[in-house]
Amino acid sequence: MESKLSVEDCMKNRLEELRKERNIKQEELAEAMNVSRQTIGSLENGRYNPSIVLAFKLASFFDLKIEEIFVYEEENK
Amino acid sequence: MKTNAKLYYLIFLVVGILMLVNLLIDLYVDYLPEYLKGFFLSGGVVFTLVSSIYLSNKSFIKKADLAGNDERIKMIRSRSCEISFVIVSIIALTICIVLGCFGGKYMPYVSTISTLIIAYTLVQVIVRTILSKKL
Repeated sequence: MESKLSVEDCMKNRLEELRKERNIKQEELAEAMNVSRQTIGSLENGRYNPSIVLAFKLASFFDLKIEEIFVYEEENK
Repeated sequence: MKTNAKLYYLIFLVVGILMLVNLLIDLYVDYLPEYLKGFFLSGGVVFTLVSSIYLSNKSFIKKADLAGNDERIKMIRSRSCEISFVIVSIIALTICIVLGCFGGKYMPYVSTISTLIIAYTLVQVIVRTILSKKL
């Protein structure tokens, strides 16, 4: 019988934590990334996964590696 | 990456002004049919007004540039296009079936709507094929 477990790709990030650590407002980060404030909000809430370009831009903004900001998790449900 | 929001609004402004100029010329020469007069008047006024407002306000241009750059907004735009296409197709198909049942004088409407659906689907297939080869 086929397993009923479904695999859901899940990307978590530390954006909010990093932003707050550095006392940066969402608006400021959005302006630096050339995106809207809502996009930063969606990224922080995990509702939206960024493109590789935006991920690189964010990583370079925070002076970190991508994997230090974004964590890929394979979740079994 | 910088988008060309300002250029697009300038093009809109030029198109709007051209429409209004056409209407002005028509006052003396009278060459436009009534339908085009209405189209040029409404289009000219709307294009000229909206583009002037946008071009005179830097924050509008900045917002438009941002919307052109923001990948999430682009994704939302393309998804809303996809979803609305499906919804419109379902509505059009339903209308076709219902009107088709009545037949007779409704058949021209049925064929017009069907042609539009087919044309839209064909264009979509062609664009998708081109994009899948390009990307």
